[in-house]
Amino acid sequence: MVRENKYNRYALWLCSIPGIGSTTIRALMERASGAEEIYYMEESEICRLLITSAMEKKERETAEHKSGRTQKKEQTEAGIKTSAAKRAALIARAKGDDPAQKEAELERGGIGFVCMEDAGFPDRLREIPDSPYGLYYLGGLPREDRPSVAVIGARNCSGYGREQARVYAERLAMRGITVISGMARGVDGIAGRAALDAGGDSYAVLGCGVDVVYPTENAQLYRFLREKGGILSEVPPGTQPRSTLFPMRNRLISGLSDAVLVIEARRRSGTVITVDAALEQGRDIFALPGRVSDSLSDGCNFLISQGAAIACTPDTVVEHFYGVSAEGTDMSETNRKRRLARRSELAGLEAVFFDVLGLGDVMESQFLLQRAEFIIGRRIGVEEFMSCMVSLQIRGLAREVGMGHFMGI
Amino acid sequence: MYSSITTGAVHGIDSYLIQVETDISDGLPSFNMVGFMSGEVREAGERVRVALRNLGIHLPPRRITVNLSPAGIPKRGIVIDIPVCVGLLICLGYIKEEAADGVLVAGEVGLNGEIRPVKGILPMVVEAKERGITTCLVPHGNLAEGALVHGIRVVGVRSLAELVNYLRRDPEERDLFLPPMEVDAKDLLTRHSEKDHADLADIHGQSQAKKVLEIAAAGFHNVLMVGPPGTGKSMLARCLPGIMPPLTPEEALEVTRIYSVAGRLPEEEALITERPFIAPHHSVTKAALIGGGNIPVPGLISLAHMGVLFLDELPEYAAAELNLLREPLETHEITIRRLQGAYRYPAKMLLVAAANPCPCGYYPDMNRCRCTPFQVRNYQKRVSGPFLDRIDFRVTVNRISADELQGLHEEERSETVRSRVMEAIQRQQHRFAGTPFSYNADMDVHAVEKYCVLDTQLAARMRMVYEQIGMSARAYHKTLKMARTIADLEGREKILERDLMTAVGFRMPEESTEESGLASGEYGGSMKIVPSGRRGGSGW
Repeated sequence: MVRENKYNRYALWLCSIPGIGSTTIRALMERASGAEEIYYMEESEICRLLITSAMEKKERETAEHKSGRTQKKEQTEAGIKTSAAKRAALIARAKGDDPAQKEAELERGGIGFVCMEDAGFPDRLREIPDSPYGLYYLGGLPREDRPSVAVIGARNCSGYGREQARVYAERLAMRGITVISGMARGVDGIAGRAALDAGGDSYAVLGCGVDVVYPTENAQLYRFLREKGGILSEVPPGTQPRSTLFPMRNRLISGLSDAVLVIEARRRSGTVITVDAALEQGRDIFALPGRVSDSLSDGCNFLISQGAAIACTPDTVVEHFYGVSAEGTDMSETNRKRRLARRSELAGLEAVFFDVLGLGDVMESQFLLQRAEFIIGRRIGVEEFMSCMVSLQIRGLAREVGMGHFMGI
Repeated sequence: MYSSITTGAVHGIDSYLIQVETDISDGLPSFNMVGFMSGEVREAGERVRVALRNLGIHLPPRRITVNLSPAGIPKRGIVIDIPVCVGLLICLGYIKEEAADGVLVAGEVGLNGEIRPVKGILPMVVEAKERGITTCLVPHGNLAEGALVHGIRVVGVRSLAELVNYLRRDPEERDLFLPPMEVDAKDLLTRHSEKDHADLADIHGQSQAKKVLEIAAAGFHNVLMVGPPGTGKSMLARCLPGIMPPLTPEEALEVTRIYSVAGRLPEEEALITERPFIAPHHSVTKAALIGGGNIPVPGLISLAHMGVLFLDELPEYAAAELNLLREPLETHEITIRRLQGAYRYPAKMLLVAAANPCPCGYYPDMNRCRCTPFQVRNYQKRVSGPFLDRIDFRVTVNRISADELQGLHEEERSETVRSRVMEAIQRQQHRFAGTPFSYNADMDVHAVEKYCVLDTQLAARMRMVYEQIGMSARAYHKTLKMARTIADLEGREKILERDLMTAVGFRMPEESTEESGLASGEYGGSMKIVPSGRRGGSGW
């Protein structure tokens, strides 16, 4: 957690010019030594820099196009010039702003800022192809000396995804692995929360300004992250969430991580897009296997079929960083033992329901009841059923995932 | 010539008597009606004039004055045709002056002289009896309800001619001409054949929902049923009146009174003999729901008095409308205040609500549900938390198995369930004798502590539940009340673990936590999070 005593005021100035995004800044930085140099540059010089960079990029793309690798629409030379002139004018106009004022604003909000020129800038982000120039953060920045894993997945996850996101994130956090997520609904939020609850580190990258709580129902998690971990964003504070910002956010999530763990995702989803970004950045991919009939596991199963590592236990991921651990825990094995031990505490109907429910399956109560009735060969009264299920819940062996659906844990 | 006739008007579900004074004197020909009456009451004059002419009686070209006393009460939405007729006939000498002594007359007259039914005859006759009136002349269409009151002569008349004929006779001959009618409520209740109620046996499976309805009927607990479309939520609700105990004569009279005032009593039917089942559409307006209007009339919640109010598709109801129900659900009555006074209508109804878990209806079946968590949450939050607080139980109504669908299991009949419910209610009556409560659901915290005693082992168990599952104090007490009813249903004074656990299983889920998923405090009991400043409904 490196916190600069003073912000890099020129970098901050450059990053907070409206209409100037990370692409433009990257183009300028290819040729300038730093933001300070840009600040003192003439408008025509900036414009020239931008045009050169764009022309080079175009040439590269044409070459790629010839080799049949991209089908992107080409920008005309005139288009490049107008766009460059426009952006140069924006930058030139912004010179009238007082850089110190931005600093004061950040200071008031307790918001940190690092840029690529700073020592505190996350090393992992320096490596990625389209790394951001500046990064705003609340709380702290991920520690460089610790491995980090992005735990991502569907917002609309199932009970299974919910449970596993928690178990995996908790386990990773306990082994000192930083959990990176997007603080989104569903898997992301649960993972971030579980990591913090387990006493580990967790950081979230947002698709809006770091001072904007989105989604609002994660307000509590936001506060916890700010206190115990960190909240990062590439866009200036106050920026509202926009759909175009999320793919950029996703590339930072994978960029900040050494590996990406996908808990649950549909075949066509934002999560799978994040994985694409992660592959481009050279990160390792882990996917949690699911049933082939579950559309929410389609994405994961697809990734596995494409060569992602299968995360059968949290330790699969842990071992990736620390090597095979002595205790060599197999998830199903430990669970089997734990369940066997607990099974012995149960008697009568409770045991029957426990067996029928199994592990990790979500079952409708009618179905559950029917199976149990089949096993014991008589009808089971509503009171009997309810008291058994409540009892299993109290013992922590089952959970009602809602609307009369139960899950064994 | 002067005459004074007694009639009645309705205020709330009570009645008060009005004197209709008529005077015919010399002066410029006119027909004046005075006595703080509104336009529609004044129209009586025109009807009476035509009806009398069609009877062959022409009003003389003299100054006619009709006064309604007491003049201090505004008279709106009442019909005074018949009293005015009788008053005029006395003034004109067609009827002897003393013929209308001790007689209450009421009714609307048609231009052809036919006497038509009016609202509120039952409370009028009740009031008349108390005020020492001996005879009530009511429209024949209202005779049945009026006849429920004993100790007073209630006579039905069909036409103005019949009425005149009756009043012109000597009092001794009158009963021979039109014999008074008397109806025994108890008799009607025992004799009436049960209408075709939906029977629980017609519904296959859904044992949980059936159990919950039984508990609800026994302890008067309000219930929420949640489940995907087409699983039989409405059908289950319709079974409820059939498993509630039959109305007692007193209850039936009270319900009939409300229907009489509302003008909703079916013609020729003396008594509401069955528990009402009211299912308003979700487009219902506030006034229709709780009563009101320019001239206040009872709303649907009062028409559901002693019966069932069924709100299907609960989240579709406007929040403002649902919130109006909060108070009546606690106090069992609604008071409508107007400038001229307050109108009180009883409204002790059993609330049964049904809802889908999400806009598409399939949550949490993630292979079918395509709603975003945001949509699900918003859908459930449409119903305000305080409203859901008034509901004791939640039961999920899910798809049934093929075995059940094809009816391989024997299903219990409503009758059997009802007999258990009646026993449970008897136990409650015995228990609550001398207290303000009549059902378990009515109990306050002190009563819960007194009547829902847990032994040490159970208390420890409940502690565990309270801590592990994470419920609020309110939910804790509601759960105990439910357990009390479940034990009552089995004829036990002692609450067993099974009763308690069943109650816990059917409790209303609480405040959902931000990551806990919508339905139940899923993310472990340790988290109790309310997003700051944005507290909405609690979800179910």
